[in-house]
Amino acid sequence: MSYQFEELFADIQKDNRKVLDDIEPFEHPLVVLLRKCLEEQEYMLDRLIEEFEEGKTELKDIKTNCSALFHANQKVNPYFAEWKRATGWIGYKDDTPSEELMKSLEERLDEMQDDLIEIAAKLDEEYGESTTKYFIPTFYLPEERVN
Amino acid sequence: MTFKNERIDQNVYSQGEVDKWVYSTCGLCSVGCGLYVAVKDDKVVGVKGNGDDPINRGRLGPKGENQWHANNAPDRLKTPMIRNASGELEPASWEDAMQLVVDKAKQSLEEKGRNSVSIYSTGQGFFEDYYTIAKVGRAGLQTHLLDANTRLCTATVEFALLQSFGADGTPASFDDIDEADTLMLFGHNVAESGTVLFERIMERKVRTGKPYIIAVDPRKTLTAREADLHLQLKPGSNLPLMNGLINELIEQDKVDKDFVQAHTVGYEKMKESVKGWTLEKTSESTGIPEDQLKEFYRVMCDTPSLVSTTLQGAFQSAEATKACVAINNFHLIRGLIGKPGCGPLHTAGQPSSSANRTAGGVGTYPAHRNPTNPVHMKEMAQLWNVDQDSLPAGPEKGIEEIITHIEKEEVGFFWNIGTNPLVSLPNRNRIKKALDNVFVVVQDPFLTETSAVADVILPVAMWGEKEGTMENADRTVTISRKAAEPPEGVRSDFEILVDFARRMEFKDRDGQPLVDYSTPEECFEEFKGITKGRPCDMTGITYERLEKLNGMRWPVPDEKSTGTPRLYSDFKFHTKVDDVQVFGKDQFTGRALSKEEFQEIGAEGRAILHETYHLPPFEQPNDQYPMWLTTGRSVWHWHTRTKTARAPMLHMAAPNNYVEIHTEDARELGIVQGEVIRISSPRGEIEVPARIGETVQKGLLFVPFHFGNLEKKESANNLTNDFVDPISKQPTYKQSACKIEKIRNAHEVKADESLEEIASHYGMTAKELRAANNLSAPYEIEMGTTIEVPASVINTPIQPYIPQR
Repeated sequence: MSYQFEELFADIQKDNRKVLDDIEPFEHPLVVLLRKCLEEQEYMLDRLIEEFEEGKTELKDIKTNCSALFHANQKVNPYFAEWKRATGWIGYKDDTPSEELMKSLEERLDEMQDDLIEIAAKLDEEYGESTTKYFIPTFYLPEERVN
Repeated sequence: MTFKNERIDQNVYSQGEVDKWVYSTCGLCSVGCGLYVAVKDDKVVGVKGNGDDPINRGRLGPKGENQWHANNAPDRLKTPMIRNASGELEPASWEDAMQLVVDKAKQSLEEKGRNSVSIYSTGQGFFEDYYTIAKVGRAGLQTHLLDANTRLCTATVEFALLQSFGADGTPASFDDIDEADTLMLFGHNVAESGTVLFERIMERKVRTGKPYIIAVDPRKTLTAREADLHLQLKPGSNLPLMNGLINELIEQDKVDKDFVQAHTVGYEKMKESVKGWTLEKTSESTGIPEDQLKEFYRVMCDTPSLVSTTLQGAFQSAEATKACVAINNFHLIRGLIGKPGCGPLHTAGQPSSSANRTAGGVGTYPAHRNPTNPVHMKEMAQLWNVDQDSLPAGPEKGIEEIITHIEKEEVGFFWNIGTNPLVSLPNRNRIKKALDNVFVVVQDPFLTETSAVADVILPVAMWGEKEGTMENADRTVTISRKAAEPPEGVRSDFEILVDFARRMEFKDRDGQPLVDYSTPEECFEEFKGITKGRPCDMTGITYERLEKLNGMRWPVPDEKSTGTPRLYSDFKFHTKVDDVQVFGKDQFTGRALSKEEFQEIGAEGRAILHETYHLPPFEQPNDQYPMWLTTGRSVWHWHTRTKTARAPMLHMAAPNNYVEIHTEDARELGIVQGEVIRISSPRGEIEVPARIGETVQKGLLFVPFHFGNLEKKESANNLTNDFVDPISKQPTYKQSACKIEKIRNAHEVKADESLEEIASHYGMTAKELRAANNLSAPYEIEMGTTIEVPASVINTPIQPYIPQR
């Protein structure tokens, strides 16, 4: 693969770890789901980075993990958005996070998503729509090519 | 056996004999009763039950009997409308309206891309409408954003079936209910939501003593009152109840090990997930006394045959899909599936929501094709004669996700067909705000609340005025013939969709029109071809046979077949990798699985037992909002009352919204019967009269969801939260937190003023006024004392409904 995927995956991994650390104290059921998705992301990122570190990587080596990563991320954002709404409404027991923390989490999750969109675009460029559309969710693919 | 005797229910208003009776199917609930439509002077003037139809043997429910009134309502829309520059809706020609619809769709596609166009449809249309939506949406517009109000209903059925069996299609049928020793009605208030089916159950019960009925419901509903065992569980504890049951079955060593070994995968993981759900823990979590749980376990672990039905109490609750999957798990580990009187029967609310799932108007592709499997997508491309790369792939988007896309200004065109989201979607203030900022087409026979955000309104033909097919809750495909012409100026949904496709100039790979059929029957014949070889094979169905045989349950693979009352009687499930309808989702997070991950499960034709780890509801009462709120149906109304409020008898039976509150809660708060109280949640508030009683449990309020006038504070969905089930993306309407506030005026007691006089002055009784002030003795009223007087008291008697006539 010609593009620097490893670097982007590493960036996501860093953000992912930070978000996991930041939400550690919270017990809201939506955080439980969010955490589980982030842990899945972390697992997939570890595998993907390992794959790239081992040298020349082909699509078949990363496709399944990539698919799981993107689809986990597709759940991360709605869970976070729901938790944010829940926090504004009632919260959960005594674990309501600060507005600053929510803002910073949101920024990191947005960055993560942007990095994934960049990766999706490059994979799409490299392997073509006939392939990528079956393992990358539509809304990460380039806008002009969304099927 | 269905009803022993026929009984022809009839409701006709006609001067003299009617001109003709036209074969049809009830268009209200999901039971799908056969009926004839009475026509006089080319108008629909009534209905009578079809005594030959095995589903109802001539019986009709109160809504079914009265559905035809709406056809003749004086406020039927008879011309399209367009919102003008000053924000007013004004009449327009069909040409202008359709041109605007097409221009706006094209503009959105051009400016924002393929996924900027969304169709949000219904569960009350015909196969032919849904299939055309699928074709236009997928192959024409090429958008992912196809959803329907089935998301608020049967989306959970679909995903529970996909998770366990690999394909949609509920395993058991109404015939199995007729044979079952035990019937578990899980969150299924069938007496109010499917009255004729309830009559069918109770007729057998009276005649034979069977089935033993278990009602799982936090409310003491009409259904629960007739049950042998009512499990009045705490809100949000459906899954703990099922986990406790499965754990007990395992502990008692009553698992059908041969069945599990031969026909399932995943047993050990499933077993691990229910470990620890002891009797004590289950009782604590569900609030059900241990002795009742023991009885539940005894019956469920020993019954030789069992049908378990589900509806909104399961689908609209926390952990919706997991709870339904747990029911599937139970049937599988007891081997109670694919046999007479056995199987899960996850039902539906609407008359044809199942058809929308089967036709591909929501979620997956037509005839249960997998949008993530290139093999299926290649087939679809061939069948439609389009380029495979042009077809959207991947998991679907639910309405709540579509709303988020609208909020992000990524959607430019929202086409709302046959549904009323400003009343039916949760947290409606958010919905209104979102829909205010997108071009909205509303396709409806009436000016609904959603027309407040419409830019174009297209008036449509109603049931009785068009022809097409539906699928009920047990896979029965039925036909409804056109009985009368719609009012002049009105078109059918089907005609509008076909016209839209023509105007958009959608073409196939050879440059021919993508939609080249022009009648519903031609459309059905095309759809039939699409189903060949799939789980819902309809090759043997024709319009003529549907009428002759009073419907058939798919699959109907050839012209000799009369349908399939029960699925999986060969214990072969649709879980081979190129058969499966989707590759499934992670049972906890809802994350879509890939083909490779699905292959790893190794089901290969066996059913999948899933883990069912419990997670508490996303919103729970706290100090500020101490009460649970749940919403639901009344026997007298249908959805947002677009039809039933226009039927005089139904409207008069339940004209106002209300809140049910438990007697003890009312006593503690000093609330009197009929007192208008304010219920608020972090989303909004309503002010409705209190109906005090013991239908709800202590700590729980119930508000029917039918009422939603934008000018009144009455809509349950002003209060509900908009969290969704992780797997089926169904909103969790049944669990919100709320609080009660009294709306009172102060009255200072004057000299020589008695409590009776004060009460009389305010139109109350002294007893009511004493209760409102928690006074136990008359001498507590003295001159100068300030007492509270309810600002408003509205009696809300609801006409009693006796299900078994």
